[in-house]
Amino acid sequence: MSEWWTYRLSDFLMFAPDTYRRLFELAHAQVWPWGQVGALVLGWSVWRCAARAPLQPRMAGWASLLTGCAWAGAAAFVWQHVATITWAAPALAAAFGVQAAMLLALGAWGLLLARAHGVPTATLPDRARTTCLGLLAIGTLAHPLLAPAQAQPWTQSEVFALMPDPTVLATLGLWPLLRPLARHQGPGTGETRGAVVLWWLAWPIPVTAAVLAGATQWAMQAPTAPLLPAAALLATWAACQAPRTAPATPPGAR
Amino acid sequence: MAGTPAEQGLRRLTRMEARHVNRPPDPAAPHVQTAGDGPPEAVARRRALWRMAAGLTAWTGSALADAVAAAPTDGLPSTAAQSPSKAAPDLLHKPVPSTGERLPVIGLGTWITFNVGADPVARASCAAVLRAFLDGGGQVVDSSPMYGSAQAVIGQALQSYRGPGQVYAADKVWTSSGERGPGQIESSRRHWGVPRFDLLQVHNLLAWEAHLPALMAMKSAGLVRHVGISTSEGRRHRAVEALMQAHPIDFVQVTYNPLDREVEQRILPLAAERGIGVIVNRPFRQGALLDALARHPLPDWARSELGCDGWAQYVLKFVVSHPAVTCAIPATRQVAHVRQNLGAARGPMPDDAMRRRMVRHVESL
Repeated sequence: MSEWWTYRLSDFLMFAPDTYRRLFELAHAQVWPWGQVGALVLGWSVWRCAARAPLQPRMAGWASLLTGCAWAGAAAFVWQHVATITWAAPALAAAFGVQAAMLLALGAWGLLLARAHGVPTATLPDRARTTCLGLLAIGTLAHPLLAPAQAQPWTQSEVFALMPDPTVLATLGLWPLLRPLARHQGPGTGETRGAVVLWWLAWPIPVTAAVLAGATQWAMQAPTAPLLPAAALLATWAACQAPRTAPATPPGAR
Repeated sequence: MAGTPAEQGLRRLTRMEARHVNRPPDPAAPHVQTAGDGPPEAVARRRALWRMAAGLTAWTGSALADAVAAAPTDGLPSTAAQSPSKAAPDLLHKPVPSTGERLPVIGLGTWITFNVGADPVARASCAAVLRAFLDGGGQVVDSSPMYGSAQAVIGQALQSYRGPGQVYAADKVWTSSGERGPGQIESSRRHWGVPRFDLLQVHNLLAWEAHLPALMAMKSAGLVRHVGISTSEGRRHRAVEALMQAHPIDFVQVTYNPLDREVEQRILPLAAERGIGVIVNRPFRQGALLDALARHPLPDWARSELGCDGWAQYVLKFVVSHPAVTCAIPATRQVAHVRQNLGAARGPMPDDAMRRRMVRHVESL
């Protein structure tokens, strides 16, 4: 692209804000009411699993599995709706699909490890854990309130597992909490290497999606534009905090 | 298959065209009159031109001969001069310098506004805008494969249109690959649902080295009537000038408004000198200019001396009154705005002194 420095963020926005918000209305109409009910139950379940203190490996695995399902739902939204107004959407949908697969694999791996060996329970320091749970709660449960808070109709609310932004936000909060799955140091260390790799691989896509979402909302002059980039920064900070290791849980422990 | 990339592209396109013209007419398809359609004598002229195009086969190869032989005997696109719109002959028209055909000075852009995806409500709204535009005498509709669903939305709107208006279909080729150009153009044409485009432009000069010769070859073969290049927001003006100097293009599309006037220095004079039509995009800076002006009252002299009913007409009258400008293509999704924009093509137009006054006033706000 020549003279790239002359381009502004808004030059890359190829749809109007009301067109973008109408996508949510159309998606909600397609799945009303059981889609929304199912998504809220899914979000509540993820939060319940991840909010256990200390977070046991089995619950961490389930949280990852359920969040992987949510990414599949968000990928479907991008593929079916966003792709009608953005030629870059198919690539984005593919990335969401990859993220879904990685979270599903991470969750399944975590469950298997917990059953086979027991995994030391590592929790984040209180402040980091509270931050992550806050992000997770906003993403899974509170995000739909943002639309009416901005004087937009409820039908334009974004819901976890149905739309990308709350799904990304919830994942940013969940990912540091899943760290115990990637810190197994006992027997079976070789088997956990895959979990470590998966845990790290599950980070770039949510962060990239958060940056893209923030840029899009900034170009649309939405007041919520800083939300996702700020969440990415907070989650990165939380993930960098040294975890406290608790005694190993016996195999099959919940 | 031998030949330059342009010749190879033309062969691919003529094959696609042949497939298109061989298809039996769809009885359910509406009659969308393109700017190229016209009276019987014009159709006869077109037939003759298509026969003349057969003479190009030595250059383009047998594919064009196949396309010409397969062409139907009526409904052929025209290269004949266009008469002023039947819907509103009182609109100011200006001639395309290279052909003399006259076009209304207010067109319709579709960037962002017509990219509404599959939303049936928004598509109906866009159809209403296009209907009001054509019924009001507008003709030039501009789009691009870069504009998301805009082409398909235009096509759906044209399919439902039953009024007297004529559309001058202007689109672009936008791909970094010269090889993919013909396929993209054909895809765009299918979205629009028109027999052929009236104008094809190289979008933002992307891969112009491959596309421009291909478009010129299409024009020679009668597959498009006019060829142009486009840029926006003052980018690549040196390259635009060089292309205007070196190639016999029909149109150049640039950004121009009372605050973005760089094109007055070189590009507009060069267009006038070379007989190149000028299409003006972003006359309202994507709405930002009107938003800023809306905080101030329209001066009384703009109402009394120019007949402006608002800032939109003020800006558009300034733009289209430049002698080198052929038309402006403001984008909107509101019927009221379309009618207001078309109103800028009626009534008195500013002279040089008034144009300078208009600029001074806007800059002072």
